[in-house]
Amino acid sequence: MTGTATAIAGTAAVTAAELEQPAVAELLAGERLRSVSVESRLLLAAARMALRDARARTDGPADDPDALGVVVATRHAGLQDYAELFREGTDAERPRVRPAKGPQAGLTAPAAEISIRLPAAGPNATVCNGAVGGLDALRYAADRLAAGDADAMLVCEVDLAPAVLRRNADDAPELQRAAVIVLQRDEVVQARATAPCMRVLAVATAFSPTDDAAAAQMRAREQALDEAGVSAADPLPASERSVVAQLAAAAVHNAHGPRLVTAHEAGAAGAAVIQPERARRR
Amino acid sequence: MSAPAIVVTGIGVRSPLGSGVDAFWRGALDGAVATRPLTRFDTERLSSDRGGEIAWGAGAGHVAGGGGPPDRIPDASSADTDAPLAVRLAEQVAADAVADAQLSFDAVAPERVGVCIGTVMGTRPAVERWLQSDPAAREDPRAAAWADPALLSRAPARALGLGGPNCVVATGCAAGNSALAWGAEALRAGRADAMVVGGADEISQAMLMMFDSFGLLAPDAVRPFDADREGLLLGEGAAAFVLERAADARARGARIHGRLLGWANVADAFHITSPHPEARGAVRAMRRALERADVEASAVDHISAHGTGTPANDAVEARAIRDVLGSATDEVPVTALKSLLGHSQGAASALEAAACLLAIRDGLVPPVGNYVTRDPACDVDVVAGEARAVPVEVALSNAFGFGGNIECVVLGAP
Amino acid sequence: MTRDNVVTLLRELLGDILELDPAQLELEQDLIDDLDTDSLQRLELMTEIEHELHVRLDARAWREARTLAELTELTLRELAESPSR
Repeated sequence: MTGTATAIAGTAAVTAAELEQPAVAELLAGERLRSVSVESRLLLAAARMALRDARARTDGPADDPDALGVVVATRHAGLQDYAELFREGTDAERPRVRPAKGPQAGLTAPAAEISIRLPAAGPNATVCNGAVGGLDALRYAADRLAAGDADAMLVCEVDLAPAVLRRNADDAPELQRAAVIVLQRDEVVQARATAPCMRVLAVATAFSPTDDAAAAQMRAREQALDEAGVSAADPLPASERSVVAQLAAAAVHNAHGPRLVTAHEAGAAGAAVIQPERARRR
Repeated sequence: MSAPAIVVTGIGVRSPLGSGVDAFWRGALDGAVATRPLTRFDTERLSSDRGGEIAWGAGAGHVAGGGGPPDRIPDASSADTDAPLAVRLAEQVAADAVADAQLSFDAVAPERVGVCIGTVMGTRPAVERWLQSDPAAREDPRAAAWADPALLSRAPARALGLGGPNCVVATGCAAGNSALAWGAEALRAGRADAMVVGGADEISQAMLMMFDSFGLLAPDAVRPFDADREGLLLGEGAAAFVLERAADARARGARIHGRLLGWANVADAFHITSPHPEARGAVRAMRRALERADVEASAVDHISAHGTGTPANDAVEARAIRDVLGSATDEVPVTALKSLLGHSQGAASALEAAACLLAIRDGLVPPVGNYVTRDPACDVDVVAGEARAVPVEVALSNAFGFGGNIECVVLGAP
Repeated sequence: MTRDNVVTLLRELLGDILELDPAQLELEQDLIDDLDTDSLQRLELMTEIEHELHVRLDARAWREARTLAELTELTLRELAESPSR
């Protein structure tokens, strides 16, 4: 097996509608968020919630910002602000550019806001691979932990269909969860866990340049199972659009494993093998 | 360190200095300033009309395509010549790098060759044009299909038939370096046998407006480290590399441009636009990259600075360099390619990595353009006037992204 | 536009940016040391005032100002030179 097994120490998932609820709003109390994008606010709230969850379940991670990293999977973060900035700035009669809006118009705004406000000064990246991006983010996080670049990584996913391209009610942001899981090295979590914590045994992604989705999905599945040292694993039913939200839900419900979490779109596919029990099956 | 050595076996470049490695390098060594009045947008309301633009039309040294940015939304295939410029640039440099590496599918299975491209804007500049020119574009599913940054890595993979790990990485202006690191990690973990990695971006009118709103656009030229520097100019372009494990490259007889010795990514965790005044993140990233490269600070022969030309960045960066190198700072020539190219965002650190490899090959460091007056607060050895002849075994390349996203890489001789 | 109008407007806008009650913002408080503003917030304030009053302000002078009182003076000076519509 390549890489180090990791475990999910804490989780959280938040929808835009839930931002209004007192329990969530209080996580953002005292922050100046006037110009901050909805995606950033969602992930900031979810990050704080996930860290709180991790502290409750494992009495960690330790409070060193240098050892806390962030990786965000997204497709559309910043697009809505970008379109608004452009529209306002090119207005024929009264053009204006709000300086604080500019930085929010980028893919990396949520990752940056989390790093600044928590703070989290470890590795920081944003990855774009559509529906599979959450698994790329998960693997990036596992690599950083294995390399000793961080003691904990926040694996985040947010994708609100921007109004500028929205076409139907299914895309409404209220329906989509932003999710964060706190990932740490497996042995660290198991040593400190006061509640069962989901292990991540393997992550694999694949791509078919001819958009042969089935082939890509099979390859990703086989690589993940092989890396996990597991011959078979039942897939988790895909209950959420976001794969990180699926992982968060799986961790909460402590599904019997090993289980397979998958994602795919067009020629891209990914799979992760998760395992809740302490003893690893071979 | 038992982790496999990672080498660069192919390079592809598209830049305002020229198409292809030779034209790019010739221009860099000449200190040719490629920033000039922009033709693609109306710049009347901006405090600067300049940028590092790639000429849209077909012709030698130019990106093939129509006569100017199209208003029509092309079909989903990037073979359409009206496809967003950033996608076409990514495809072209990926193809150039693979050709340069003489990477054949006899030696490496296509399923084992992945693609990772770094970007800031993705395809958004094209999407913004379509939405502006036709409000109905909002309802056009093709506009939505194009509004996916992942296309910058998927399109090259589709064009070249590559089925390895594939994704786009966004770390602000550090994205090119981050793609290099991403590829190296994939190789070390055995997830691929070759990785095509790099960065691509096209000029965004919205980003021009944003930097203008900060008062950070240079009125005429980019002057990194100069006492009279006033800001940056935007640019565009792309660069890509083929990375392989050293043993594999040697086994297939590949020509090796250089080694990717180390990399490090940290967050400044300070402010959404300003760098930490004591360069906290930059210092950590530079140190960690050198540590991973197993290279002492005193062994660094050349630094390619992030050098945007803004008052804040350059002073903070110079301070970071001195913090890390100590007294050795005085002996290490520093260049800043953004003086010639403008800031090509996701492509910037990829283009700068290419220049580092060429500096290593030729023992020549390009001059910093537009440098006239020394700033005592930027106490580093700026290569001024002409290219400097100096043997370069180890080069450190800095990239400091917006919001404190920092990635530094260390490149070494073959 | 009277001095009082400008003061009220500046307080409202800055209060909005800082998510503070405008009534609590005093003219002599230091923008950085007392109100904990950063450069981006002060820049936001400048562009909002410009938009409201249809004027162009001197960015450098604005950057160097330390209190609402100083910002008021800068704004009034600009209004005097180019009266708003």
